[in-house]
Amino acid sequence: MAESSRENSGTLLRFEQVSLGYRKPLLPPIDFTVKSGVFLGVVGPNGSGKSTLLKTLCGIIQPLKGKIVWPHGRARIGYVPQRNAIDSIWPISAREVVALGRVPSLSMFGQLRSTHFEQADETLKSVGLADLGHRPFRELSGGQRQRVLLARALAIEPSLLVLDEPTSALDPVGEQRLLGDLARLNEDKGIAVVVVSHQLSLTARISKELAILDGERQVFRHGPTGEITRPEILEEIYGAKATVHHMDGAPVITFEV
Amino acid sequence: MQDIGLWDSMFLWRDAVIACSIAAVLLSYLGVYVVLMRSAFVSAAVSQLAGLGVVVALVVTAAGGPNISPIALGVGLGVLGSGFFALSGRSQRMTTDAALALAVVGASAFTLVLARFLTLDYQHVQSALYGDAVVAEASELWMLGGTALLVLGSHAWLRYRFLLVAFDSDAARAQGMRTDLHRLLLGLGIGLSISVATRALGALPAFAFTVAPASAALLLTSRLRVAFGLAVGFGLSAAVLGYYLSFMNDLPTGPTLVAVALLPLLPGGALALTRRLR
Repeated sequence: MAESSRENSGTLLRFEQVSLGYRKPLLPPIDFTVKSGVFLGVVGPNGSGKSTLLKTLCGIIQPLKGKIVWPHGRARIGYVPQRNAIDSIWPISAREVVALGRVPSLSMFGQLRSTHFEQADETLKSVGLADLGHRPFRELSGGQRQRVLLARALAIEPSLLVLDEPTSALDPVGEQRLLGDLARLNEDKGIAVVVVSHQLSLTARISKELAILDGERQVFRHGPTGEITRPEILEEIYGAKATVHHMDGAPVITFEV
Repeated sequence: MQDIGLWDSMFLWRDAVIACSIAAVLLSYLGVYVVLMRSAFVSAAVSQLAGLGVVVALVVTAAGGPNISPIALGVGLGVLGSGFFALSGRSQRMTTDAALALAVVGASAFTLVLARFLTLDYQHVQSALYGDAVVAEASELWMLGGTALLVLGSHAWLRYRFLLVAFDSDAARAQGMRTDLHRLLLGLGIGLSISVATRALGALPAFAFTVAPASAALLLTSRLRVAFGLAVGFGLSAAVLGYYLSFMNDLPTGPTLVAVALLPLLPGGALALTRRLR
């Protein structure tokens, strides 16, 4: 019992023999743990099942088998979907998008009040969009939309922030800025961050842990970034000879094709 | 019609105008959700399913079976169908528009086949199936009023929850919200409203009020609150003006309502075109 309690003390959630997928399992059943305060990067080739893993973790889709255990109760999850998951037909302002994020935490008869919108303005300010609150979401650039969705996730004061390809619409500067912001949230506020990306080097540079998966090769690996970015593991996943250099202590990965 | 004054003949049109107005306000408001969820054909599918329910009830009764209320079975089948559509978006193999198209085609075919077994005259079957915007019975007014109270009341209470599940269901689900329940409630409200309005006004005006005012409003504004307001305003104006034009000029009421409901699309379309050319 004491051992189990020790195991759980820093654990936010635990996958126990979880089969991921919509109808057919993408991978053999997996076990892994997301610790409190971790920065976990989820990487893998396109179509490898990264987003399915993320959606299963958030409860958006249910595991085909196995279970997800939350030892200290379900965390408050701030979810940032892929940018194109939001339909641009909606005539909704940036501050309305952020305020809507508070709806699930309202009481049964609760309504959004002006204070929720003021808080939304504050959160937008914290992600550098102070002047864009009244702008229609659909008229914002890809990077600005991504920041609005990040603000919506932050508005609920999450203990777990989950992001699906947050840098896909960004230029290199925008990418670095966003990932830097996430690293700061993780360091300064202790928010656990799980970020899905297909950009291995960039994700490995800022993640404390990496989960790397490929449905086609039926492979799943998870561990500290330094351990997972060993060339033999990368070769197993990507099927190409990998070389790992280090720059300022962070891994830089190249493949021979 | 011009032989007697408009106000002298109020007893002829009063209930029908009230029915049109209630239906227009209700459907135009819900239409904003329908258009934003890209489910415009939900109205056509629900109308056809409601029609199928009416014919099944008539055929069963005519064949000596139990006496089933055509309105109850029609509305019931329409509501069930809309509940199914509300949840079918999560399927990986069948898109919502494909499910809607299949429902329209299937329900229309079965309705036509079953209607062959009815001995009632064509006009009676058409009226039973798709209502009649010219006159409104007291029972239709009560049903429309009750439905509007129920549905708009649920929206006053759950408005932001409905908006969130329609806008980004995954984000709501990630926060532990019961999105399927809310999508179902939203869908049932839309289905009930369309079924009852179809019975009172007819399938074509109900379809037009669901799609046209909301589409025009969404073309004209980038503000959600304004879109709801404009849609309701357009719908109500179309109901009153359409009925007035039909009454004064002896025009067919249903098509006139539809034609007037389409008018706000002209400035909306022009504005959208201007934006694109800019």
